[in-house]
Amino acid sequence: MKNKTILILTGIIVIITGIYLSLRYQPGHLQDGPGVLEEEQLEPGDQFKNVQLVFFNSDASVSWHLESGSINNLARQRVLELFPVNITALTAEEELLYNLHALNSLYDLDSGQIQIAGPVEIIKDELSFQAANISWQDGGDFLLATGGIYVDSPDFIIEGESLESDLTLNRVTIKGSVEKQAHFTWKDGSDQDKDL
Amino acid sequence: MIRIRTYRVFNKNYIFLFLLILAFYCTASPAEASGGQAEGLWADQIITVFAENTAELIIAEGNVLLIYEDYQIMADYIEYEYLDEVIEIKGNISLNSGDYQLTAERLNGNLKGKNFTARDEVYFQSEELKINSLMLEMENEDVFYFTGNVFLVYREIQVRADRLKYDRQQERLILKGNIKGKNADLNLAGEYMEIDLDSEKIKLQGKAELLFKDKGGE
Repeated sequence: MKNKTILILTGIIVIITGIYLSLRYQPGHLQDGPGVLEEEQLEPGDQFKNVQLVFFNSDASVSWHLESGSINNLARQRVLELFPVNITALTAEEELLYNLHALNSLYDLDSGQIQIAGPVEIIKDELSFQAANISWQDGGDFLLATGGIYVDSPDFIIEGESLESDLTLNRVTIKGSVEKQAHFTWKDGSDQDKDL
Repeated sequence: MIRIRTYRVFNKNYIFLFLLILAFYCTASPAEASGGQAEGLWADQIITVFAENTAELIIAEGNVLLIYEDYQIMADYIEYEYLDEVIEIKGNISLNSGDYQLTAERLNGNLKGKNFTARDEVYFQSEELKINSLMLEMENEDVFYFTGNVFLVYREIQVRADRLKYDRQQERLILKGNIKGKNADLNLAGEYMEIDLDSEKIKLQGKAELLFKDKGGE
């Protein structure tokens, strides 16, 4: 009986010691800190309201100030779903470049890839850019838009299948497809009509 | 009976609606698809540099087609300064106007002002008038100046010269410098030559020579 008690106590001590050591000397990335916080934030069912995120291009000359009504995680994936999306693009001097509106977007925390799903509309002064989808790499200098590109200005219209641009939207390349070329045309009655 | 009648009426309406949509599609589609008459710029890709609220520069690359008024221009590359209205076209240029065709490797100028300079392997054709040269300067569609290795073919006239002025209003050609060629069996040479395209009257000056091939004399 006495030996049995000693054996049980020894087992309990060994178990407690094991638990203590495993917690004390666990790998660094599992210890408390930002990483743990991110994991906790990605638990299913987490939802944040009225969130603001700020992204920058490579040299921080352009920033995206993203506002969203809701942010959801996607079932233990390191992906955030934001909807709806309003992005204000600013220069380093805080000058407005454009405003972007979209239904929702996905932000991959690991890759930094942002996928904005449409219809997406960008308003840059009197110019309007419309696309089905826009993707951008956090920290990158170029964005890519696909699906029914439509650029509308007071003077002209440009249509295509995909769009590549720097983040300022000052130099925009619109590509056609095999079936349909990129197309530029003037608006009837505009001051610049037929200037080309 | 009533059911059958109702069914037929429904079918008629349906067919009518279908034909209406089909007719609309057939009449609307060609204008959009062919791009034949609608003005605009088509290309594999169009690069636009924006400034303020408009375009500063438009670059069209790959299988470019520009339709503007009477002009239909095909090329590999078109660059257009939107505000200054300056255009530069490169590669396999084919310009079709209402009454002439032009091919060249480079062409620049002002499309609105219709002033152009074409360079490199310039070939101009208007009905029976065919001209090759190194360079062509076009002023408002009225006067065309061809320079460099000019070679003219008009009906039975075949002439080489240093320069050629084509006055399209007066339908007159003026050739200058090292003129040498033939008109049917008549060989001709000189420094200045005028050809009236309507009357086909030829005026030759400056060390002028006429030589009838078959007669062996001037």
